[in-house]
Amino acid sequence: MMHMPVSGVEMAWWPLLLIGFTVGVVGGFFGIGGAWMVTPALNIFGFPMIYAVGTDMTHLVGKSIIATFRHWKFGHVSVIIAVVMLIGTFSGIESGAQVLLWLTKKGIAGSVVRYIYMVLLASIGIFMLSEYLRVRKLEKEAGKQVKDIVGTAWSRWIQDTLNIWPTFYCPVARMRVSLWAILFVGVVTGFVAGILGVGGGILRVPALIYLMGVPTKIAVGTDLFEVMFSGAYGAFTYSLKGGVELVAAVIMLMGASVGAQFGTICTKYVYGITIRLVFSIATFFACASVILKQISSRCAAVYKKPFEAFLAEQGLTPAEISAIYAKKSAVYHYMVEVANKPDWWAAYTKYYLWNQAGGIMILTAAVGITAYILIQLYLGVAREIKEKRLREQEAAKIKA
Amino acid sequence: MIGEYFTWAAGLAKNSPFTYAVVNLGTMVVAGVAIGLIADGIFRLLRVDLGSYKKEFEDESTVIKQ
Repeated sequence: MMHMPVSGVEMAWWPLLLIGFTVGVVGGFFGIGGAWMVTPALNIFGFPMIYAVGTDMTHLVGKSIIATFRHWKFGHVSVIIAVVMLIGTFSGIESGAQVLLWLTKKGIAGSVVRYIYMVLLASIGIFMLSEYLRVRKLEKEAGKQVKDIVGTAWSRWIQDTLNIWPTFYCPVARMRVSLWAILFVGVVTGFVAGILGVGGGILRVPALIYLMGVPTKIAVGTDLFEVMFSGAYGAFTYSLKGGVELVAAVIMLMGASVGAQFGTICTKYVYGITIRLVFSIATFFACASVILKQISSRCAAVYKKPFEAFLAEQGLTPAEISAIYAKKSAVYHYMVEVANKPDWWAAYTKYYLWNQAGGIMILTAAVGITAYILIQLYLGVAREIKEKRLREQEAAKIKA
Repeated sequence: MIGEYFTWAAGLAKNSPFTYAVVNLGTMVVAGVAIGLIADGIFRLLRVDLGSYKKEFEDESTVIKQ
């Protein structure tokens, strides 16, 4: 067990290492931050929820540097698209955050955000999966292998409509694009990410593919470049609030640094269309976790407000109330023994169970996707070694 | 020594949040760059070529352009 000096909790180090490794593999392969996996996974292993998001964001900075470096070496990063999009993303996030603030004031933020997220994730997942199936059908009909799809009717429309100076040729993505088209896509994805209060990698990768018409692998590498900066921004703001456990972030980074190498290198051995298939499966799991979160929030609605009002009446500060939520036994003590409200405790138990169910599902999905990526990597490396040996043997024969 | 560093950083979380934020970010950037370079060095030592390669979208016959 390890002592976490900021939160004061005792926790084993190996879950942090494993979570870091898993999210490193998945993040390196998809080009996303993966907060939707890390936060519930940390919660499952008893990491205090109030530190989970900030700690994840912090480890993300180091992880994305490692993964971006590898993708850049592969030629998957379009720096020009990433930098311009980053400007659009940040302005979009700020506008989205204002809308989120307005929704919060109206008291409807939680549900609205979750419903938008559900619809978006389900739409992305269904679209990507149907596209993959269409390509497979086309392959069978034409008898020709299809390894990726470049461009869509939407990306063509955006490129044509916003074909305004300054335009430039991007050699990595092999396309001519207007600065305004990139800014537009950045603002749109940033705005949605701002409303949802998420990093947005899971939205940006599909946006780069479908709205910009960027090849899949370039979308993955380019998004990771952006994740470096959005992660740094998130890590900084959460650190200011004291919501980061640096020891945990460093341990997670140790796991992620190995995982990110595996995940990133695997992109060399699979085709863009395969990345899209696995990405669509990941979005379905992310969507399912949001659904479970929505169910659990309905349970939380029963006890949250009156319980917190009761605790405030007892003279507890918001920080002390957060600390109570970190320990289940403390919640029981205040709800049942102090307030004498077993119905609050029953609702809290349901909330806790739904949350745990969501966490376990996401953890299982992450492990499954990681296993798939590692198998693909193994097969790819084995194939490459075999081909290299054959080439060497042939060369030796010719020489002889 | 590492333990002392984390204890010092945890103290900053309470006393000086801005410095804590800078330290956190700095730690991650330094660790990320160092690990990235070390990993690259290991691949070079093992003579594993992970340089750029021919991507599938560079081969127009296997790509659908829409």
